[in-house]
Amino acid sequence: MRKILFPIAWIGWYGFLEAVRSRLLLGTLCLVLPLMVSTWMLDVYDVGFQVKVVKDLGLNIMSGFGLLIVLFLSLDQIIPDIERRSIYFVLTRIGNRHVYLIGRFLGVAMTLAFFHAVMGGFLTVMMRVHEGTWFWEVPVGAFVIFLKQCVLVSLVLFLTTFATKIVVISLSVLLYVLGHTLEIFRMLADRKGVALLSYFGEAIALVIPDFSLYEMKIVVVHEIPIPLPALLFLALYSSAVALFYLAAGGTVLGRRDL
Amino acid sequence: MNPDAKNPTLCRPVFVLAFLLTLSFAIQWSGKAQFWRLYFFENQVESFSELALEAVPEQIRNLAADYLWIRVDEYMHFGPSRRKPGAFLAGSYAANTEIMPLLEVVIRLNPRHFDAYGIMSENLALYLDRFTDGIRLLQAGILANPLHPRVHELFATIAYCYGFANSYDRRHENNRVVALRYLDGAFDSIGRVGSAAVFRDVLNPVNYQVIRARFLVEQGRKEEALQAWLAAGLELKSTEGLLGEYLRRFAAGQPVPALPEDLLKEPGVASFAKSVNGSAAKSLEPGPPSLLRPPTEESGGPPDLSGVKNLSAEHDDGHNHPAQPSISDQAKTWSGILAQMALLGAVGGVLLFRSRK
Repeated sequence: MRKILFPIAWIGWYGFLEAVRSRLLLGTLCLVLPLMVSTWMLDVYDVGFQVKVVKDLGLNIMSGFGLLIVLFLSLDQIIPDIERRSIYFVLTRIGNRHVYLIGRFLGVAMTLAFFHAVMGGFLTVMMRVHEGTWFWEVPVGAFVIFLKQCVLVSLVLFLTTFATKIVVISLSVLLYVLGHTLEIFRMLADRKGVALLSYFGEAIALVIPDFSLYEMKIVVVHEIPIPLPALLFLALYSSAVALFYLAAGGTVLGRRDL
Repeated sequence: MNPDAKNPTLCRPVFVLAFLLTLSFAIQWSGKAQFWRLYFFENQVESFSELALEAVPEQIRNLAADYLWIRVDEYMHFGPSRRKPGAFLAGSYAANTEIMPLLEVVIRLNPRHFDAYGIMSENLALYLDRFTDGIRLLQAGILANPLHPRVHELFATIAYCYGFANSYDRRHENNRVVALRYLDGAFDSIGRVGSAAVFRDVLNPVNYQVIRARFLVEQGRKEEALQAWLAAGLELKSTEGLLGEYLRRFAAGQPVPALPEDLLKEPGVASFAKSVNGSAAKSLEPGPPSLLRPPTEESGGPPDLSGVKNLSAEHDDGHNHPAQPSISDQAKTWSGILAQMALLGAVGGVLLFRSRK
């Protein structure tokens, strides 16, 4: 077990360090934080600090920045290693391509966790300073966004094992949108009575992650408590889906001639 | 040796470039001057932020504005924050400050988003003591939507604000002269829009003429008030209200007091007014007359010409509408989610287990 966990941890840690030291990400974070602060500058008529608007826009900015991290960071994990042939060095040391992929995933996940912790914490503290009370639903919302983006990272990493960058980006966006709208698609297919479309929807619903489960912005903005079992279920679902995509990606990478 | 001959090859290109540059400027500005209609900005640009927004395609701006409008409706229905209770009820637009920044963005993204002006101005003028800001917003709405089928509502709303300001804020005096001008503006806008004009329950030419008649009577222009009343298609009889009775008497050449309310001091008139309005006592109070037809709210309150209160009345159920988060949605087909989780987790586990070999 140590031979598997240690390489995963080291690959993840160095991936995280590389990402955090990236000037692009740090520069973007330096823009994101003032953007969050500026959400209350929408108050043109000076009616006061608007809690819901600041929470809503803050979470949207967090989600948007997280998507940027997912896309740009995930694309720079495996494809450049294969192109530069630096993957051979790593694989000779660890010997297992699954371990390599999971380590890369861990690095991106840790980066996401870091940036979400910074942004979520900043937003919570900012609201505490203005309103004098802690809005704990904001970190919970940030956690849910983190889970969603971890699933997306695993999906993107799976795609990078066999596709080029442009194909990965296109498929990732397609699957992201599909994951949000699949339920509506299935409902419409049922309503139309088109059996083939309905079966097709059911089939792809088994494989594509259901991103609509992570839509909690309304709940967070309007301070509706999220039950703990719901959060645990969401974490379990994210783990299962990410595990599948990472395992599938590792299998594809294992059979691929580098 | 001629000193100019030292750099013979430099002068010519410089001259040619300068000539071409001047020529291009001349053509550019001549073209703009001659064909200025092709370069007319559809929206008025008054600040750098608006200029920056012009770079974004209008369709995208409209889409974003519509999305924010949906969020405004969501905020309105959910009610105030539990930790920071606002001064509004769930379902009410009134004094809902949470929606103000969103509405502001909606208007900036799409100045032709008509409904936002009414809601924002109502909040500003009537509930947030920003009377002047509310009027300015309505005026901006008129400038941005000069040919909108309902632009007359904005004129009438301004007229209402000026005409009955004192009823909401004692710091502001009623200005019936300005109110009359805006009512005239409402009719002019109806004429400009023509057959495309849209009228609703309260905001229609009949009520505008009734308000005009009332204000004209107060200005001492009784003849014009009579003409306005008749233009509304109303009959001169006591069953049409106190103002109808007043103008009936005026038309019949009978002596009339300065204001219709003074008729109530006459014996026998008070009971008749009560039968018509249901509240004779309120007619004596200063404030907006409850003589309009047909008010959608109770006659006790001031009539609302903005039409926005009608909209909020449809939503004003006083109940919160907590959303079911998707994770707690009992109507969702959880069997599919659980099956997916089990299937993908099992497959992933098997693949990882086999990779150990």
